[in-house]
Amino acid sequence: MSNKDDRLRIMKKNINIYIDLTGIIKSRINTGIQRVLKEFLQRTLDIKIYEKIKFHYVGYDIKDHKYNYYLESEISFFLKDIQGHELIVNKKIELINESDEISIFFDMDSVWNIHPKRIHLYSGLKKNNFYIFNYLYDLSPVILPQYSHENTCRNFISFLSAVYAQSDMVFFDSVSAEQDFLSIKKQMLLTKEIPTRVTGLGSDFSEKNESISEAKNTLLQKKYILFVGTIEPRKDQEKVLDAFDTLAKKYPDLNLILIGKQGWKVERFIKKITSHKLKDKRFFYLNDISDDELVQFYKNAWIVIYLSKHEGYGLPIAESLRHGNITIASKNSSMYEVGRNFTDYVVYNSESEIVDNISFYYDNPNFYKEKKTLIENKFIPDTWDRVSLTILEVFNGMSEAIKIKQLDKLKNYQFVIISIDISGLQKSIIEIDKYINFVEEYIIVTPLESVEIAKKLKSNNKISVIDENSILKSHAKDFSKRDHVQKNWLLRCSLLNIKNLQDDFIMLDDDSRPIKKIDRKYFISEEGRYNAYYFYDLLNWNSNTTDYDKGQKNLACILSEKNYELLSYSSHAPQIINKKLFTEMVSEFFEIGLEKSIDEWSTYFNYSISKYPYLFNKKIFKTLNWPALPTDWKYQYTPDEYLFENYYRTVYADNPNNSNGLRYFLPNFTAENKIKIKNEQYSPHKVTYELFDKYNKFLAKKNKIYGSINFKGEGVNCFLFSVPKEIITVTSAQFRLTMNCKVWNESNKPQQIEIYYLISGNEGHNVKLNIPRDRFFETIVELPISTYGLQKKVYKLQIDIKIDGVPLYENKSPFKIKLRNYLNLSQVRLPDNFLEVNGNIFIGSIEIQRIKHYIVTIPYVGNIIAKSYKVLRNIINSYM
Amino acid sequence: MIEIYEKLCEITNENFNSYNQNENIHFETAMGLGFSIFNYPENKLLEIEKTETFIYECFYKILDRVVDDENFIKYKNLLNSGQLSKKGLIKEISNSGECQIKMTGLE
Repeated sequence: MSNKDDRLRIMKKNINIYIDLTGIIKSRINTGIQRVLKEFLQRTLDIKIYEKIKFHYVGYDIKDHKYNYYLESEISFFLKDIQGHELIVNKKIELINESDEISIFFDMDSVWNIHPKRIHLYSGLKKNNFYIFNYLYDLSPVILPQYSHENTCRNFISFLSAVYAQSDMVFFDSVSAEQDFLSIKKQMLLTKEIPTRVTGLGSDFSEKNESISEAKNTLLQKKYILFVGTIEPRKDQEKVLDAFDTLAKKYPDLNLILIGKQGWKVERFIKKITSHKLKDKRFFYLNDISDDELVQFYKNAWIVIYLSKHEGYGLPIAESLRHGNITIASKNSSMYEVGRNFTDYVVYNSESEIVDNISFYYDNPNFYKEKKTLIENKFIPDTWDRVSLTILEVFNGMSEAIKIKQLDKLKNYQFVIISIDISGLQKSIIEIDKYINFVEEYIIVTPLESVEIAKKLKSNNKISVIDENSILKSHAKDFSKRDHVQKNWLLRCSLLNIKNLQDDFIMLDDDSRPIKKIDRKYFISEEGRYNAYYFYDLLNWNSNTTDYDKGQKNLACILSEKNYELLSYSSHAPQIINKKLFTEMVSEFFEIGLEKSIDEWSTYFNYSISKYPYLFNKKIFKTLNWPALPTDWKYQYTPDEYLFENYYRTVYADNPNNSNGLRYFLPNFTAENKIKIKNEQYSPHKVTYELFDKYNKFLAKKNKIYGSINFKGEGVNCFLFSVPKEIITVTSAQFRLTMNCKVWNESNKPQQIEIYYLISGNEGHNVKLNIPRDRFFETIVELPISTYGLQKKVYKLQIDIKIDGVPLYENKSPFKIKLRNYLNLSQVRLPDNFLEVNGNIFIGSIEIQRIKHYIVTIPYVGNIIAKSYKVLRNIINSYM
Repeated sequence: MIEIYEKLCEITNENFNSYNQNENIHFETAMGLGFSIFNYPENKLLEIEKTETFIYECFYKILDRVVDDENFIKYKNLLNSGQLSKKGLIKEISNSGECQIKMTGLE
């Protein structure tokens, strides 16, 4: 059979999806993972827009070791009465013999607890041409096994082994869960390709309008903080209860309600709950409520809080926001993906942050009202319909994905370059010629005035030069008036107007230069998948000054509305593009890109990967000098090797005498020289961030965090949240202190606020905010704190703001941060006895603590010595 | 598959040790993974020499669960004192009501 016949055969095929219901039939549970399964099953019955997809519902019978096959009608009855309906078996089947056309075995239940164990089942199915698709919610049993039951750990590990070994594709509820999966894969040095797709979860559930008891109705009338979640150590309800002790004293009308079943390893905390002095007076614990009652508790909550040490998703955050609640959550794992900027975060999980965040809303009803209005008006909750459609679209695209994956791949590729710097391009072409031996031709798209110069470019390979106007066509008019991002968008979309453009081509900028030999496998894997290189999550891009920054933010909003993935692929290196998928993307986004600046790389890859994840491997970028300096922005994903250089002329010195921190490369440097310098540049930054993360745990324990700090100027009231009182750094680093900022602007005019710091009285870096005329403004700020030129010393940092250039406190700012700077890592002493940074274990000041303890215990004079020491230390610190 | 399984067990225990240095999570042996509880050959269990590992593995491969502390101590004492043979332990667990339910799904 020819390739063409083979393709037609695939296109005509039905896609048979087998879903194993063994677990839900046995457990009859309607919460957690089973609820996700239930919601999806309902949509498989309701959504009939995909003609090629056929669902098969099966359940394993351990009596005869065969699968029971259920008709759709049975599933429909079952979903209406999960706890009571007795399913009628339509027929018995040997599942492994069922494979026909395209067959996918899709596991989305907690199947690690049921038979047959996947470690046995998957290999049999694969031998019979099944595709294995999984949905994973979190990897907690591996990452935080202390919070899982030993039996769950054991079952999950066996299941996960089967997923890593056999799965053809894995869906995730969050990028965080996906990254956990990929990082474990990397840790195991597993090279098998496993495509992934992040879908999110729905937060809508139907209300039955059941009646609510009088006692619960009385609770609903109170002003209460609500925490919904199983009582377990991972969720940190105890910290909330401790914080409530402080809050209850400050605010006599405030109550706390915990809702959740009792988990395990919480016996001590349950005792604390039952013996709490405010129990059933101002603090209430409910462990058995219906879905309808839960909705009522959400609807009437004053504030919802949800703390957790690690989540796969964090559904209570979405459920709370859906009900328009002000929501305070931890900021780890997936929490920000779910809560985004609608949620307030307890960044370090300290009690002081909980108290201050809640106090802030209590003491500032204007902020409370505006934030609540913002959530009610702007938060778009994800629905089960949308999540199910996302999954169904992936199934629907499978035959196309398989077809493209199986196509014979080109031996040589067109390298399509947009350029306005022909002399720079010549140097890039020299490097490409040197390191890449699969160039079919260079297609250079350039303005008319550069066409003739470009035709003189020299290369071992063919060069075609195209006047950009000839592909821009009607959009050539007004092209010059557009911003940088829109120009790129228009030009890249117009590449489709190039005659003879190959089905797959390499797209690149004129400053992308290989620094090592590049294999075809960089672009397309041996299995025929496209590699897509990302460098950031669009959601986490906090810069907001350039057109590029705005493009990132615009795209995050646009892709979110479509439930597409949200990675940033403008990795400043060549990437492979499939013309057909690019055409699809352009037809969906072209007009949007003309109205709002959006990044073409991220639009293409997020669109294609969201629709056809089976065709792609998502990989961390391998670009040197993106960014040019570690101070430009913090790596979210760190390259494990560098293959391309993002060429900046300005970082090259003419000769060694001119070389400095900004001109750090010389023209004759080898790739190894450059990589060494880059690693040296990054080292203090990396160490400082690692120290910061480690030290935070100590600070949170000691409550050495400002939950909020307040700057009240004329017409402007500004709050910054979660500011550590101490930081440990090493010299020659820049560290970005990330804070939430809320502003109340009463001036009726736009204002500029500059958040800055003073170090030992001298002004340091700042971050500027343009506050609109609106009264309520909120954003995340990253204040760069530089340690260049600092000595081994404790410095006094003070945070202050300027309103329209006028400082508020200057060196009288009461918001002090103690910055302990060291010249290098070996000098660092951390307070806990075992803290690991950069692979080194530090024995901290535990001995000093012992000595202090001993002194205090000396009769009569011990306390005097200790107090004198404290006074003396405070005097010294105040002079630093 | 076995290699992946062993690495995952190792990673999980490393993570567990960062929380609790004195204990490890017990996982079934890689050898046991190849068989389900419905077809597990008795002689494979009997090949296990170490008493603790043998008890853990018997519970995994016959009852599909982690051994509880009470049974672990009981069987460890019985095996070590010679009051119960390995075959005897397998028989005792296999004849338990719990095992019958696990094998048939009937309660």
